[in-house]
Amino acid sequence: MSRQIKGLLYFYTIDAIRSILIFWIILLSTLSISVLIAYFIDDPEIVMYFVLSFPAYIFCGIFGFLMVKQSIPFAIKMGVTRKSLFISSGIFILLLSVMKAVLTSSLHGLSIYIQNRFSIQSVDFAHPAVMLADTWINRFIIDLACMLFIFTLLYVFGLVFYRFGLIGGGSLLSIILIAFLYSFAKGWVADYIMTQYSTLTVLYFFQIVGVAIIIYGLSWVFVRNITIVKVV
Amino acid sequence: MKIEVKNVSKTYGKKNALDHISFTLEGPKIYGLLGRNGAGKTTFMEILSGHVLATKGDILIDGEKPFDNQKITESICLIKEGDNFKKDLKVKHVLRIYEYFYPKWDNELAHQLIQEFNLKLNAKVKALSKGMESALGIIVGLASRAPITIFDEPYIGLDAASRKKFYEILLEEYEKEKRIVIFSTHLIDEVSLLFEEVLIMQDGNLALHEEADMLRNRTCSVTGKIEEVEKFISEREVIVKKQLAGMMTAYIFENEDKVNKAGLKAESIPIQELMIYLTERKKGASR
Repeated sequence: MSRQIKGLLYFYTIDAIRSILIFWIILLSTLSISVLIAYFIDDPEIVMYFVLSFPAYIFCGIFGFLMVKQSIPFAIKMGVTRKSLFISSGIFILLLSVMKAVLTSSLHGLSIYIQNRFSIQSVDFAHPAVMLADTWINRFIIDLACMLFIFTLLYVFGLVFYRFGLIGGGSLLSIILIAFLYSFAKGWVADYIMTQYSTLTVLYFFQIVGVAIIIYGLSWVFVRNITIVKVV
Repeated sequence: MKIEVKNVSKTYGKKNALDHISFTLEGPKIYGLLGRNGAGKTTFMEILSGHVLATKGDILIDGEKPFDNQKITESICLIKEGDNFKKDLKVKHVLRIYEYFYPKWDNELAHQLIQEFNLKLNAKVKALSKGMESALGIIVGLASRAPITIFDEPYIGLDAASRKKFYEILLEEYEKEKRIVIFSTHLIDEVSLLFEEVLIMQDGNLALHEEADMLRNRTCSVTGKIEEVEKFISEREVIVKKQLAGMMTAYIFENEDKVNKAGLKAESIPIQELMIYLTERKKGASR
């Protein structure tokens, strides 16, 4: 591995630690307090639902978007080549997604264990994996796929905003929104969801990983000639 | 190393930050890159470091373009007046990160300078005062041992004693390992004696490129009675002239000896004054 890639991975890691810690402290505190409250309520009529993966998905999205604005100019100032930037950002996004998928899947399992162990009825833990089978590995695959997809998508959005400013980024978002609304109005979105739901297998999430890799590949178009000048 | 600047232009919207400039720098040498605000100094340094692309023309370093060229970018360290480092990082992380990017990085020197400038390794960049952040930039610039080290107004907020310390260390390090040092500053008088060559930029153009000694020898101020000075300067290139109480002082392109022989008082012109008047004159001429 080249020195530049190692250096950039070190930079990304050191820079991310604080945000990751804050995220987990908030998530774990909220979860602990809620479980404690649920333990004392102990009323099956009152149920709090937790989807522990969703905050992690949101974190990945925000992190991917901000990573461009907050880290790339400094990386260029350190003399990194665009190829090293592309490779190391990709490795970092993958590693962070894997780490978060492992943690969220494990935390979900642990939460369910505690819920069962203490027979807590006022809290429930949901996960998209219930559509398949709620196992650790399924949760991991689904979380990894979703996080990678959201991470890379928002990273590319971040790059578009960085390179083309509010006008460029806003235009792209508008086009996507219009396309989505049109598909929604035509019923294509509903049809797609119904089809996927009825035929859902774990393979679908591997396809999402593939889409995320393609999206990340597209980021090279924006990274190839990126400079420290951010278009406003 | 050899830096060839070939017909380089850079435009931001409608503004010409650099306007077809061409020159060559060959090292090892300490260059003073001077000019007023908005003259295009920082833009030039950013293109040279491969941080931005020129709109037209090329900068070649030993025949290679710096943009996206690892061999060249790890040979160049540009320290600007601010925003060099991510604010959330600790000083020790900054040093560790830069160590990866500069193959000739001198960790011992970096830690020695950390002590010298009284920085704390565990302090975050955002917790440093303006002067301390400047000191960190200086430390990184010197410890990088990059064959081309560029300081763009590197000591904002640094007190006089620390600046003096920096000049001394810079010279020591330069003597130990010669390299191209490009120094851009507004505190010209403080550092002018370090310069071996001076480049003065004005409105995106190169107004002057001269060896510092030649510049000092080729220019001087003439003081005397108005008629005598007027007569002496009548056939010479005048930079600026001032009158006070029947006396005149003129800055001219001439050797001090010739002025003395004419019975007039000759003094050398500080480079800072020269820069001010040369850029003013150029501005006037372009109007």
